[in-house]
Amino acid sequence: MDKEGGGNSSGGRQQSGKVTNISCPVCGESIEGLTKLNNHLDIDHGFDNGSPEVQKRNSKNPKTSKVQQIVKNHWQRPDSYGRAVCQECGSSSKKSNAFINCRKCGLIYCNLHCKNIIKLNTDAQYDPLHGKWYACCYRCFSERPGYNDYGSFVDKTSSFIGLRETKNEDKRLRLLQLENRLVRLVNGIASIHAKCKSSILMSFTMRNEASELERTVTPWRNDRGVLDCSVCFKPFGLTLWKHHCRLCGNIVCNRDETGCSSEISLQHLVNAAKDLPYQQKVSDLAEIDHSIRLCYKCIRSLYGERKFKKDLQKPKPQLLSLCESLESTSKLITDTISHMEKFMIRMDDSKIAEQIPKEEDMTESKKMRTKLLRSVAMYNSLARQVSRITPANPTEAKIKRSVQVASSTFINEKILSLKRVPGMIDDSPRTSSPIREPDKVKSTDLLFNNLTISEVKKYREELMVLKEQKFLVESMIEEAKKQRKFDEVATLSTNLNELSEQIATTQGNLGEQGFT
Amino acid sequence: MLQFKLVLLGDSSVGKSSIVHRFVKDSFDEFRESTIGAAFLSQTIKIEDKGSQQEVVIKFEIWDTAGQERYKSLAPMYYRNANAALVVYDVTQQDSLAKAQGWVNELKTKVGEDDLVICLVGNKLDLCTEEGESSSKPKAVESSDAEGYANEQGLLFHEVSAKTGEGVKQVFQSIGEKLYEFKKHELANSKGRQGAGGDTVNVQLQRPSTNDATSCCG
Ligand SMILES: Nc1nc2c(ncn2[C@@H]2O[C@H](COP(=O)(O)OP(=O)(O)OP(=O)(O)O)[C@@H](O)[C@H]2O)c(=O)[nH]1
Ligand SMILES: [Mg+2]
Ligand SMILES: [Zn+2]
Ligand SMILES: [Zn+2]
Ligand SMILES: [Zn+2]
Ligand SMILES: [Zn+2]
Ligand SMILES: [Zn+2]
Repeated sequence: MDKEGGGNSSGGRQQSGKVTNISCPVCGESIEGLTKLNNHLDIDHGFDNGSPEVQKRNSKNPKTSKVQQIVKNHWQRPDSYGRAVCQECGSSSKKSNAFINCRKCGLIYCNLHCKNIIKLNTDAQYDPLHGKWYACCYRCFSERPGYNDYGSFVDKTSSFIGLRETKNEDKRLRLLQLENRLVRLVNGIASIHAKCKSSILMSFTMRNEASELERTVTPWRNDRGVLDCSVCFKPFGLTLWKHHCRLCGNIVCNRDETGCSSEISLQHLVNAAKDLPYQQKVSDLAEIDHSIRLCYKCIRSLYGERKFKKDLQKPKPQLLSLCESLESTSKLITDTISHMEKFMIRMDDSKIAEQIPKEEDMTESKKMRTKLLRSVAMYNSLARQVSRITPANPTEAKIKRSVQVASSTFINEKILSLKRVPGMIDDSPRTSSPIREPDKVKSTDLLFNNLTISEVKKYREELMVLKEQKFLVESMIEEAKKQRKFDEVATLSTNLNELSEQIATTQGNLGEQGFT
Repeated sequence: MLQFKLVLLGDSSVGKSSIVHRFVKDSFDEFRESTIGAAFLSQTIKIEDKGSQQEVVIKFEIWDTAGQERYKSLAPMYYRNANAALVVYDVTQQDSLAKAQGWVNELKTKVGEDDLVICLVGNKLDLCTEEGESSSKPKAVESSDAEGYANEQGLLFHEVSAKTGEGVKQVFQSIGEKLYEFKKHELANSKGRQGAGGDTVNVQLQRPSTNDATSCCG
């Protein structure tokens, strides 16, 4: 009854002021208008930031807002010298603004290592609902419940495979249908040809009968409502005519630039798919002079795979065979290096134990070294061969570029990994160690042109930097000339000469290893 | 006009290029790209001859080297011929001072120290003096520490901000004055020895190459 009354009275007002009555979703009280409801929610139910209790307390006595501050008594303090040390990186300082306490665990961190934020209540406990944002360390950040840095993993492979299966099945059926139609067309045309071979009107009757046959094999799509090409979607018009594909019946254009459809001679069609069950011998079909229009999609589905298989039987392009050799050589290098690493560690162990290395170990080490040098040289020569190839098409050019990048990365990487081989780059003389004496086996023996691999790497890097700089200075000279700043041209030219000299020296140092 | 060669050294992103651009073009770019190799710029300043009260024009030819490790091998080529070196660090980065000290050591061992003017410059001062506690970064290098080191090593010392321009002019001014002093000394000496007079204009100071570059980057 009460509610009804309220409803009535406001209903009256509604007519005049157009304000709707809404009942509060929390307490059910009927409130006039959205603005008032929002105010009601904010004030009476505390939706505006913070809990209702706090709101009330604050409104009564603003001083008690201090209560809200987060506890600090668990905070770690600087040591007795007033020095604070970051838990994470160990950097220390006496300055108070260089350090911060994790608001959760209270430990001291440098500014860099306390950059995460977490919602905490006033007891410094994790409270995702009512807490406020505070700075915290990475440990507290990542240890909070529900933390997940990587997302979750759901395996959809089987449903994907299922979907793909049905799709592929459809595709196979469709291909069968197309092949079937092609065979019927070829057979039909062959018999028409045989029938009117002797007729004077041969070409005329043949064309008529063939066109009839085509329509029975493939129902043509009605071209009434078809406004644009089913391959390129360009609208048909006065200059763009409609054509039917004799295999799928779809309507396509015959623009040269898109190749949406083309007329292909029977001979070609049969030759490119010799495996299909024609009634006549493939050689007999050759004499029939007749062409059939096919759309791009049908050509692709009929001949795409056949062409691919044929290509596979052809000898490989040189680029690909080089790729394969590179691949196997790189495997050889990787294996040898990992062998060598293990071997070196063993040698070092025995050195620590002050043992004289065994004879066979020595020969073994030498063998591995030679093998490694030889395969690296092989790899380089293969890579050089690749860079000399003139690509036959854009795809080959692309492959060539990738191979070049990959091979130079590989070499750099392997040279880096050689750094890890104990003693490989440490070329400080350790004459005191007994291992050097007997057979002069130094791990630094792994030399290119009397340079250790690390030196080769260093010089090559330097060479690259020098060449870059030379290029830069050359353009600076051009620029200065344009601006007629001739004294600067002189300075820059002097520098250019220095750079050239330095490049020559570095190249000289590198010798054969100067490949880039 | 006197002409001097000046080289900038220091860790990457301490603001070498920014300082040079402030000096040469009086501009600052918040998003400057890291330098590749070494860049070349020039600028002239005027100083006053304290004896004759005359104005002297000095032209600086500046090589701004890249601070990235990759380009370290390039630096010797540019400091070898320099008359002055600006060794820059970032006042908010403690390790950049360590790197700067490394450069000072390298300069002192690889270049005949006698007339090379080295100036230690702390950059990005604006980050520490900004109003309001929140945006201000801690100053990781105390001026007194750096200045103490500079005095000990006989270097000029300045703190600057390429962003606001504070102190940048003074750096080059003081280097110019110091170089001019050296130059006058040298001229007086040679005059004394040769007994010949005449004003020397457009003097090029070229340091003899003492070392080749390969020996400096071990
Ligand atoms: N706030 C502030 N930022 C600066 C100042 N000087 C440079 N920066 C910034 O620091 C960054 C690096 O400056 P650069 O001048 O490129 O440093 P660099 O020493 O030339 O670095 P490399 O070329 O890599 O050796 C840039 O983003 C600049 O905007 C400064 O005085 N104050
Ligand atoms: Mg730079
Ligand atoms: Zn309510
Ligand atoms: Zn830290
Ligand atoms: Zn913590
Ligand atoms: Zn078709
Ligand atoms: Zn088309």
